[in-house]
Amino acid sequence: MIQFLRLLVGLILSNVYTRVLFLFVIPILIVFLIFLSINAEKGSFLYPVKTTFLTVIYPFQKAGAKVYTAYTDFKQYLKTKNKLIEENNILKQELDFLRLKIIELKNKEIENQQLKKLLNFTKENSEKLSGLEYITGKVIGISPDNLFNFVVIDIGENEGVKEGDLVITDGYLAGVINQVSKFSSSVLLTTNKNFKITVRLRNTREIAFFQGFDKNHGILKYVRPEQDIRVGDVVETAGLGKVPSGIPIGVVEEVSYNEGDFFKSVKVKVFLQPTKLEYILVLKEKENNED
Amino acid sequence: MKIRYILAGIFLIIIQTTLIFKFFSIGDIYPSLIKVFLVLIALKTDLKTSLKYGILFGILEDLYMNELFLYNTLTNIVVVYFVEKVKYQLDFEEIPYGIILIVFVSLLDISIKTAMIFAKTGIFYISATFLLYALLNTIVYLGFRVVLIR
Repeated sequence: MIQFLRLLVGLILSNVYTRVLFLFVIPILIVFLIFLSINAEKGSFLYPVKTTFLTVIYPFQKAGAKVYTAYTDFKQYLKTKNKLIEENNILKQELDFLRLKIIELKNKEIENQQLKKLLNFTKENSEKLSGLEYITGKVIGISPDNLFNFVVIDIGENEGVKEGDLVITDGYLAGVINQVSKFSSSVLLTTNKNFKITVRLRNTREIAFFQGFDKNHGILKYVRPEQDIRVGDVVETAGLGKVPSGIPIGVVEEVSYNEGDFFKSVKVKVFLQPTKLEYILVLKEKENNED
Repeated sequence: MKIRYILAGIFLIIIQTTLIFKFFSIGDIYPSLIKVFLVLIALKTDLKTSLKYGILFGILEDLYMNELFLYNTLTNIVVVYFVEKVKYQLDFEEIPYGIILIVFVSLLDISIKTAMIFAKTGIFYISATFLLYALLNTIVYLGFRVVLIR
């Protein structure tokens, strides 16, 4: 054993490099390691030595870590390049799918809001709508003609829709059913020139006769000069016959009268926006309403 | 009467009534595919044949619109008659003349319908936005030329 050690020391000391390594470098490293391993608390004499050392080696450690990470990443990249491309494609597809889902969900949200509005209308007006049933429908067709405003909805005879049933949207009158087939019906919108209904003004309680005019307006016909019609007053259904009262149609936009005329000229801005019409509520009489 | 013209006409009428047609609109003004198609037919066929097409397409449109006043049938008859009268006066195969014809026919269409609506409802309404109708019909006409007349 002693002979072996002698041989080892002899070998170490025989070479200049190994002599430097074993006599200086290794002892210094061991001292540093001892320093590092000692739990130097704040205030102790070893603490600044240790922290200084850490501070000094930090940039090297950092750079080393970066080089290492870059190397391993590159190695990984080379290894998994094809796999990554494949994964990327899958992720792209998933992203597209999720984007579509988002659009679909947004549409559902809009649908929900519109249906909620219709539901709220029926709840808020339960008294007015007593004796009536309601069915929701969706617009599936439009009028190809610029002068005749109507839409086609996806409910018809099979759902019990009848000609003359009122159609509501967003809490105001959209029109009246004027043609019914088995699966669909056409709705004459309040802006159609053929649409006529007896109305009442909400504040002054004046009765008038409403008729559609252009894509956003209607007019009140046969309004006598002494009738109190004010700009801004809400025009609503008068509740004559089977029509429930108080369903808003529009608001008085313009009133004019020329001396000597028989009637006032009254323009009504309707609440209905035909281009935005999507969901509607058809009010129909209850089947067993007679008893 | 050619069956392919009839089928094409019915197809255009159906397209006009679907929500897809909203893509063809500017604001809330729509072109009339069938009217432009009818003008093209009238330019190619004789009065009797084009009148048949006009009446057939007009009745189909009026049936869809539930209009017993037959606005479209009557308008189509006038349009076809007008096109037949002027078609030998100018070379409507030339695009500028074709555009002038379509604009004129569009305005004629609106005017006749406005007059008929006035007769029926007592409401006379004509708006500058109807010029958009003529513009849209012109675009449709140019589109049809690309597709049909090659």
